[in-house]
Amino acid sequence: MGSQSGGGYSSSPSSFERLARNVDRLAQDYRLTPGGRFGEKGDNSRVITSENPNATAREFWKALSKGGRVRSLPNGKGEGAFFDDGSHVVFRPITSTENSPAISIRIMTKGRGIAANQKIHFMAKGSHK
Amino acid sequence: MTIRVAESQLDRASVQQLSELLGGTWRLVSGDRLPERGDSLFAFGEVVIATEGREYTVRSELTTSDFEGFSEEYPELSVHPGAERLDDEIKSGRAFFRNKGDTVVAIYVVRDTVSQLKDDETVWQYTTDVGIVIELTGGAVSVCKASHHTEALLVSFSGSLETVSVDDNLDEWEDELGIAHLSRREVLPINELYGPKQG
Repeated sequence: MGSQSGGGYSSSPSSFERLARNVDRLAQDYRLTPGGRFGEKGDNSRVITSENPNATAREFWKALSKGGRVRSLPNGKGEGAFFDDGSHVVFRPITSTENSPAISIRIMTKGRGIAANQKIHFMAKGSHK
Repeated sequence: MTIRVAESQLDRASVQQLSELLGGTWRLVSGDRLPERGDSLFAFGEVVIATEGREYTVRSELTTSDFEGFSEEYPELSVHPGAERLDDEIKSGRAFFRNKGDTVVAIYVVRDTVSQLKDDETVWQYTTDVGIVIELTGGAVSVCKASHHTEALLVSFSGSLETVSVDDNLDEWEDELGIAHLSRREVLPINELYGPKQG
């Protein structure tokens, strides 16, 4: 059994191109590294700090998931959105880190300069060093 | 150096549920179609598989482990009898009857071991069941983790067992100078897993 990867452009509203455009748009407001990761390096994830991490996370999620097919997670702990190549994003308002919602991004299509896997924690300014 | 080791494998009950599919008449699998990924379906956390008279839910649920040196969540597969959401899945067009009427001839568990090497020495080793492959008389259906870090599942159809393709998702770990990641795969027939316990 080998490996496979999705790919190809589609005009579908939930195509991977749509997700890539969402990332490009977010990169205008949030730092994106040359390796395609948002925010700053944390202990085990990326970190975006703001005055109101909950509001920032919801704003980020709204922009990132636009066009995706959104589903509630079976455990009721958040939402997920997926795109036509299997790329998907997950929003968890509550995580094991207090007052720090998180968004996970899994990219299946290579070649758009977005990291294959990243988890972003949203934290209050001054709480992350 | 002490190697940190973690395992996330189907439990014995799940293996037993899967073995009950053998010899059954294939009916359906659930998921959302992925137009940019060939014959594949997508689901967050749960997929229904069914033969005539038997329905099961394959779940992917996050569990916490610290084998990487920090606390992180990783999905774990399990199989449960019954499918509460089956009627809804059928009504909403999320049930796929491809290969309906085929006989289930074999079932395999795909087990990957991911290792991190620092300066050629193993730092951690993570062994996890990433997928279930159901061989039918007319093809194969696989239910696999779409990621090592989320509960997403991918369902794929293949014309034969030989053409089944399962991602190792190794690109989720980033290599750096002096740090590399490797993945090794075992494909285990369900009969071997459900045999008498050794030792």
